[in-house]
Amino acid sequence: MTHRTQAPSGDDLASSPLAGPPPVRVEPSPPPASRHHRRGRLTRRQRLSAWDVKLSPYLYISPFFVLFAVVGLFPLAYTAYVSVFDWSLLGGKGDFVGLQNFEDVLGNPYFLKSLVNTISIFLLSSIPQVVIAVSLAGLLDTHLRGRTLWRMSILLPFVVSPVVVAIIFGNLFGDTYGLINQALGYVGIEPIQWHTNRFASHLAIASMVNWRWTGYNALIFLAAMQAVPRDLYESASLDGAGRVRQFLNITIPMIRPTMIFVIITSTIGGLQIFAEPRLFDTTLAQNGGSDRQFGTLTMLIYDFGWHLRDLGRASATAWLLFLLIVVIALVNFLVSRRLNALGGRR
Amino acid sequence: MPAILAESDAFVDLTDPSLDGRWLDFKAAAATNSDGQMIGYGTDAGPEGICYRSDLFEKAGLPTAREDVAALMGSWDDYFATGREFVAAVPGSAWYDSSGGTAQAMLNQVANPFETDDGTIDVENAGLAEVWDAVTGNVADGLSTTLPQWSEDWVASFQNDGFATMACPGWMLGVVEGNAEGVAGWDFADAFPGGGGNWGGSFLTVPQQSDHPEEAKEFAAWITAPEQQAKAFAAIGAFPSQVDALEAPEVLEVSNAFFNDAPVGEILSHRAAAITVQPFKGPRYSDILQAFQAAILRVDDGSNSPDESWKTFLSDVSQLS
Repeated sequence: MTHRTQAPSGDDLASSPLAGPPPVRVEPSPPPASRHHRRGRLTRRQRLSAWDVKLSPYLYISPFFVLFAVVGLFPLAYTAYVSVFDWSLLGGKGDFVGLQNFEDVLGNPYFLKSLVNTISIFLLSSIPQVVIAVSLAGLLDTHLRGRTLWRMSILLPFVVSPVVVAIIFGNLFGDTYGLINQALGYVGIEPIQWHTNRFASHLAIASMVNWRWTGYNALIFLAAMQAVPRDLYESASLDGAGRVRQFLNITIPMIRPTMIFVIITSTIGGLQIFAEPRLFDTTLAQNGGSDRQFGTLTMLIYDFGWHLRDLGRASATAWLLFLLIVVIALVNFLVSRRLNALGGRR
Repeated sequence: MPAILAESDAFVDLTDPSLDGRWLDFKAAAATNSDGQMIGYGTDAGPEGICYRSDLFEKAGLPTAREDVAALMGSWDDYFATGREFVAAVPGSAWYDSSGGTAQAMLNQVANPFETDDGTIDVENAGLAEVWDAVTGNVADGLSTTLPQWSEDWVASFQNDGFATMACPGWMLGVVEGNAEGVAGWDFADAFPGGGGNWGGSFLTVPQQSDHPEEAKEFAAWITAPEQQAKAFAAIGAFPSQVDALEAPEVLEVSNAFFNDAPVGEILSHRAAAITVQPFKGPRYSDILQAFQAAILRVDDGSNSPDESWKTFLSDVSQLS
């Protein structure tokens, strides 16, 4: 009995051979009153161990949040701070100007143009990309001969740096001596002004984005498809559903969460598109074509910050883009929640 | 450099009386701010001559020898008139490489292209209008390839007999040689329409954050000395901006096999001596120049008429202040 009072932990209580307890004392949770009594007398080590249980999980996930605070949250807040000042790239901070930078940006004729270009390029790249990636994944999710080879090779474009992609596509889409226009010339079609015609330039840039990202997304879809229970397909075949029917009515609904993930990530990436249009410019002195045919919002930020050396306006533009992405992400979220609800009812 | 002069506070004052007279006047002026402080030491300069394809000249029935070609290019009007003759005789080839490059060459001879001497933006002046009218007018006559300078198409045009001449600062010779690899017939004339002109060239500056500003200044002074820059020209073709280097044997003796053994060192020294005007470059010079080049390109690629494009240019410039 003396031993029990000195070491009053629950484990000892339950397992102490000295207690010689009647069966009723061996129940796992002691009565509340005695637990309260014991807590008041925890040793330091025990208190530490209790903290350990409570805090450790947060500590283990903290590196991400600390890093995020340093490289995500801080720049975000600092950009907001810069955006209300007259701030030169070389000279640094100037006078406080309130919302003047935001007014200037919204009044700039290129803001609206860049916004339209961004959304147009985003739609031209994201929609075909998801459709083609899902179809590719569907084709790869079959018993192909050498399927690891096929599955790996669709990732190849993703391994290539976007700069290299832009140089290769720059040669393809040259207005005068480009490969595509020369090929069109052989079949008697007028050359397409890839860098002048607004829609053609968007198509060209979207094709670069699609070339790079379709395989990557297809692999993500493929992983999701492999998790679909095979017996669903078996029952469907017994019911007489063909391959296409199975794909549309089983595969697609089953991978919906993955589709939502891909759509949201490609939305965020698509709205921030920079490298492809920047390098599609025939010279770096331009900024999205001679008449901003394919200038995007991130390029406008670059233009303000690094061509015109006005970090105040660049920061204001960055914040406007951030707000736009938040709004579109919210719409995405609401739509997908609704879709999920529909899926649950099915 | 003009934008850097506008932020002089961020850079070390490199003024050193012992270096007075080291650089050509226009070069020293370009690195000196309104308080008379020298912020940068000039490395190279870009005196311009005319690169031309003697084989295409022959095809057009034009003279091909360097001295005879030089005689055709006394003024911009002469240069363009010869060009009209050329494009009539050789369909499929343009007269010059790009509207942008030609406009740049003409701008290099305008005293106040975009700003008045006190730095006020003024783009509606006669000098700029002359450049604009000439360059955009030539597009319809087929004198220009209408390609953006430095674009892939522009690079490809060197291999496709795309054009016959171009304004060539010294550093451009290497660019032509690289782009036109395997093409025979390039030559370099000791002439430039409208006199001399400087295009490009760099400076070394020392930022205030430097931990060793004295050593940095000393090094910059050494590397920009005539002896070193004369060697740099022999090695990589960057033409010196130092007065003494213009007479240095290492410079004068340089000839270029690709350009039909033209004595490029001697020619560029002549071209450097012919430079009389250095455009005023205020803090907004580069920004306006970029807008101006985009305006020319809108006419080149047909997305705007010259009048529309000029209006957009004025609106772009009004956004700058």
